[in-house]
Amino acid sequence: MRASAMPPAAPMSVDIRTLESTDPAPDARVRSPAGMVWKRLRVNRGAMVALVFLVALAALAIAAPLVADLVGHGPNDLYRTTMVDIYGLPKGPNASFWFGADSAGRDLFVRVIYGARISLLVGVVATAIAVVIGVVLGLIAGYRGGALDTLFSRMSDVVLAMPLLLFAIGISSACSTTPQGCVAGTLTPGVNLVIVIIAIFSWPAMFRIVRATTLSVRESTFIEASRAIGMRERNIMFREVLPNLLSPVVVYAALLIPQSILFEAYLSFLGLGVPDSTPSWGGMLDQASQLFTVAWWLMVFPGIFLLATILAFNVVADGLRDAFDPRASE
Amino acid sequence: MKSRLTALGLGLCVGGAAVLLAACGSSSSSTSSGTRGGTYRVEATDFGFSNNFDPTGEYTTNAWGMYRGLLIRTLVGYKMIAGAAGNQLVPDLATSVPTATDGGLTWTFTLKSGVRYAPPVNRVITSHDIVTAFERIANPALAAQYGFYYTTIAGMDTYASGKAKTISGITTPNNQTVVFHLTTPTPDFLYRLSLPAAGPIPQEVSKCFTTPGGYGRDVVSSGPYMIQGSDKVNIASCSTIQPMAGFDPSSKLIMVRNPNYNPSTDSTSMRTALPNEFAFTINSNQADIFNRIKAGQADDSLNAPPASAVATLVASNQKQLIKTGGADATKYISMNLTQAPFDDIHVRKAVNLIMDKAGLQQANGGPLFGLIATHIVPDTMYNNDSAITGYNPYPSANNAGDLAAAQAQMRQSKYDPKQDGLCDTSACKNVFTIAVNTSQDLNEIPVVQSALAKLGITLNIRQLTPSAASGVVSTVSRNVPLALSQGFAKDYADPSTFMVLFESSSIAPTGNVNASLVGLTPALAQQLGVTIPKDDVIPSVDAQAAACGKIPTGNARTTCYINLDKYLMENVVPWVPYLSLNQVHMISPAVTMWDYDQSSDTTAYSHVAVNPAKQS
Repeated sequence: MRASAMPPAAPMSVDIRTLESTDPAPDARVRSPAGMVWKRLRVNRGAMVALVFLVALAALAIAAPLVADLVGHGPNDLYRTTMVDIYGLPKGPNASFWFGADSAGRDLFVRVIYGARISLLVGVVATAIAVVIGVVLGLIAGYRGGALDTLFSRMSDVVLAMPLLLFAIGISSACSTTPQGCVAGTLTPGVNLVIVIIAIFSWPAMFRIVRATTLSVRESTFIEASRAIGMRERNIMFREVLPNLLSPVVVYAALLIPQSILFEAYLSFLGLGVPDSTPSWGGMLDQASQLFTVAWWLMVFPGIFLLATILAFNVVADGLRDAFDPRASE
Repeated sequence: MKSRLTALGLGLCVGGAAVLLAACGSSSSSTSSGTRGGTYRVEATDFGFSNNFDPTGEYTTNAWGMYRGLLIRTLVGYKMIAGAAGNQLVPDLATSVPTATDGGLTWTFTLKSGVRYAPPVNRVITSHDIVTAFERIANPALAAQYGFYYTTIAGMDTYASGKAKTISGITTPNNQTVVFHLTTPTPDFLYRLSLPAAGPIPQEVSKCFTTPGGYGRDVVSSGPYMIQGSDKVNIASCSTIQPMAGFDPSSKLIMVRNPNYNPSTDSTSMRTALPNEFAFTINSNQADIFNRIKAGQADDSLNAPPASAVATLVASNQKQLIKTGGADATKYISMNLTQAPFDDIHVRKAVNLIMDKAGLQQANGGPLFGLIATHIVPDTMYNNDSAITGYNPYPSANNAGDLAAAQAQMRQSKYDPKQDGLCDTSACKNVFTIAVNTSQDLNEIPVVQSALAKLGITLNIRQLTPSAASGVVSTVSRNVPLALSQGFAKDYADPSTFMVLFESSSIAPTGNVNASLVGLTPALAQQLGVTIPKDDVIPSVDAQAAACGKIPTGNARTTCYINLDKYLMENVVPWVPYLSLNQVHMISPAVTMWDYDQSSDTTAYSHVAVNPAKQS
């Protein structure tokens, strides 16, 4: 039995009375919870603008090779004789290079677009991994309790206590000194390693949210009823409890994505992220930090894109939170 | 053997690009007139000392410049000026530069009279003080980092092993005379004696320091300056000796005039000693250092100026504040002769032909930071001999790479079965490559990748810190095929210091400087766990190097090394040399005299002066 099918015992984060009272245009259609969330989100102009921006950015990132073809410059094509002076300083924006060039003479506009790929890929994938780990462990810990709860909780405490940057530096260095990298060749410097590092440090927060929500849900009447009719524990966790976690998980995941993007930028800024040949906003900002007094474009354009992306995800997350639980915004 | 380039890094590679100067790549000095007085203020993000400023083990450019110009006089030294003349030996503590006798096995020096130590020792320097220096070099506990230069002295090894109480090969018939007896003729022995570790050390102080670097806080000066606080040190016993107040490795090194310095025992062509004080201080904010220099709040830096600082000076018509000098150092890409595809000489030649050296020069800041290198040893170390200047075995238009010539070489290699001028096999894909993650060196990566991609060679690049990169590349078992942004600087101005990089005796499991493994024998390969490709014979230059090493210094020796250089470039091809590096300095408007110390590759502290009225 799903709580959402048994009014008035609706999912914890969605109250039908609230939905009815705040629905701006009540009609006779019966909407699914997802439909109701989407309807709420749609009327949030800020969130919609941010969402449109993110969709456009994703489309641009996917179409990056097409953009490069249209512009006529690849992300690693060097134009050092035209876009770098004899002193090694890059030249600024012009008709052919809209964002100017970097110190290797590469088209900054094309690299910023390609950089969106890395940021979005790392942000989404690292978050997805962290969500999966956090949800599974949090669900088990919150529902089962006991030794498993203690074990997983202490694991999350250990990870949270670890010095993040030192760990990142250590892993990155250790996996960089041989062609095979680490863990039988599965971890080599690059996008994969960055995703793993970010996921490792991101899952504990999701774990704690899921665990806390699970602890609350497991005491609900419908859960007791499920036990009473002999439903298997695993089915209860994943079919009855898990759907009630969707709201906090989705909202927090939306908040986690920009954090992961920023994390990747930090790592690239410190030289621990993706290799130089793979465009990354953080890597571009690292180079910009050395030259921004004479090459402002190196910092401005990647910085604007990074800022806008982070802001957009945060605004969407806020909108989702309001859409799932309108009472929170009153 | 250790490359001093990592130690040069503070002066050469930190700060990155940007250039200027009408006299691009050539040394330049400011006005030659300066007046006595003032404090010459030098700031740095780090002193970078390798042995706590203890001359026995200190192996860094910055320290050598300070020693030579200010603190330590050696039997023979240099004028500390720019260019080839700055690499010529002149007498310092010795009355003259001797010639070897006894078939090149004996070198006899007579010390000048009246040369005194600074406080707290104060007494006259004697021949026994030279012996003390070598006893410290031979003492394994003190970790002399270039002690290998002195194993040619008879009895050094026996003393080092503890089987003798004195070094039999160094005798002191009287307080003014020291004689070196060698086991084998060593034509560049005088150069080795010019290194700071060979300078006099008072035994009554040094005996109290028995660990590496211990003596560094209490260096007793034999030069025109002393560490501030030297006169306050009580040397009555080891327990009363305290560190000199003017030196704190984490913050400052202040030097003041040595009251016992007698200019009549020295030469103004070597040392002018105009400032009253030298103040070296740490400033962790590199940008702030150069802002302070521009504002006259500091005068010089151990760090190279960043691109933005140089560009600002150019824009404000102050390019006269940028000074350069040839660093007698080569920047290069190293290829491992045992690793595919670089085990094929035609691939190595193709890489040399395709490399965009102009792009690499641009990545390093342009001509100000170095001239295009076309062979192993910088021209200045051959006294700009006409037989080597202009020598370029792998020419290309504008030094941008010659694709046609490179492809022609590639077709001759075993890695181009399709004969299309491209490296076709899997050995050419994702070649494991070590790169350095400093800002300048990162700029080089796309240039190299782009060039090699034209030959079908793709790279699997690992970007490491300079020390990590050095560690990986110098560990033979890592089998690194390609190493970017490598560099080597002279220890002294004899080409032999570069050629040791290609001798089989230099190959070691760790700390290996012969990264290309030139001269690797099957027996040595087996010892090191390295596989020599089937049917391959790794070329060796041991015989040629040994032959050149026996020739007395002079034109014949230079010619021999020139020929060896050419042989390496054409028949062994271990490197792609691309930059003959310069040292770049920004000085303040208050500096009225500045010169470049070619021997140490630093500011010539013995030839600087400031106008205190212009200092802030």
